[in-house]
Amino acid sequence: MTLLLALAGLGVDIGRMYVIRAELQSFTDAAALSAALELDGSGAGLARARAGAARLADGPHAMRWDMGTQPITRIVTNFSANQLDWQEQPKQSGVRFVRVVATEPAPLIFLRIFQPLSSTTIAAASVAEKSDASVRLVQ
Amino acid sequence: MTRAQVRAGAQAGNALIEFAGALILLTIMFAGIFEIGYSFYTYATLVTGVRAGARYAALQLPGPATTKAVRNLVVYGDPAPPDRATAVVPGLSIDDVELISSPEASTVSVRGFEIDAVFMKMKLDGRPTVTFPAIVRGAR
Repeated sequence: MTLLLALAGLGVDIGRMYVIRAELQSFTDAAALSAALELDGSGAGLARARAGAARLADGPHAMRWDMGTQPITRIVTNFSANQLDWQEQPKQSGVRFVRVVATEPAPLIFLRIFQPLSSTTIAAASVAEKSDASVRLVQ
Repeated sequence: MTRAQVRAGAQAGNALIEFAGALILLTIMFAGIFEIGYSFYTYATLVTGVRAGARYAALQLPGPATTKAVRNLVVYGDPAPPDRATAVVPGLSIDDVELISSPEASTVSVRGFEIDAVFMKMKLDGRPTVTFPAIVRGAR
C-alpha cells in the first residue's frame, strides 16, 4: 500500500509540479521580455519595466498557475548591467538585463504522507537582455 | 465431505471476496491516478504549445497568415505542418486556439477544448493562456 501511495504521489503531485513549473516558466519568459522592452536607461524606464513584468499577471488575459486557476502574485524583478550584480532598485546606469523570478507554493496531496509539508515551492526564472536592436531571452 | 474440507472451502470463498473487494478498490485508484496524470500531461503539452504560439506571434506582424501559423504551431507543433499532420494533443483542432493580437502583445489561449481522460472530461475555456509582448519592429 505504501508503494501504491508513493506511485500515486509521483503521478499526481509531481505531475502537478511539472505543470506549475511550465506555467511559471512561460510567465517569467514573457515578463522578462516585457520588462526588457521598457528599459531605456532612465529611472522611469525601470519603473515601466517593473510594471510591464507585473502587468502580464493581471487583467483579462492574465497568465495563471495551477492549471490556469490561480493568479501569479510572487514576482521579483531584478536588474543588472552585467548579469553578475543584480539589484531590485539599481542606481547605476547601463542596465541591460532583467531577471524575473516567480515562485508559488504547489500544494501536495499524496506526498505529504512522506513529509510534513502541505506545499512545496516551485520557482521559475528568466533573464532578458535589451540591446540596441531588440530584446532577447538570455536564459 | 469432512469438516476440514468444509472449513477450507469457506476460507477460499472469503479470500475470493476480499480479493474482489481489493481489486475494485485498486482499479478505481489506478483509474483515478491515470486520469489525473493524463490530464496533467495533456495540460503541460498545451502550455508548451501555447507558449510557442505566443512567442511566434510576438515575432510576427499581425494578420491572417500569422493567425494561421500560430494555430498550426499550437495544434501541430509546426507553423506550416505537412498534410495529415497529427495534433500534439488528441482532439485538439485549430478552432480551439484563439489569438488576440494588439500592438503591444499577442495572447494565445485554448478555448472550448475538453481533455478527454477516458473516465472524465475537463473543459478548458481560456486556459492555458500565454501573453508575449510584441517584439517585432513596426508592431509596437
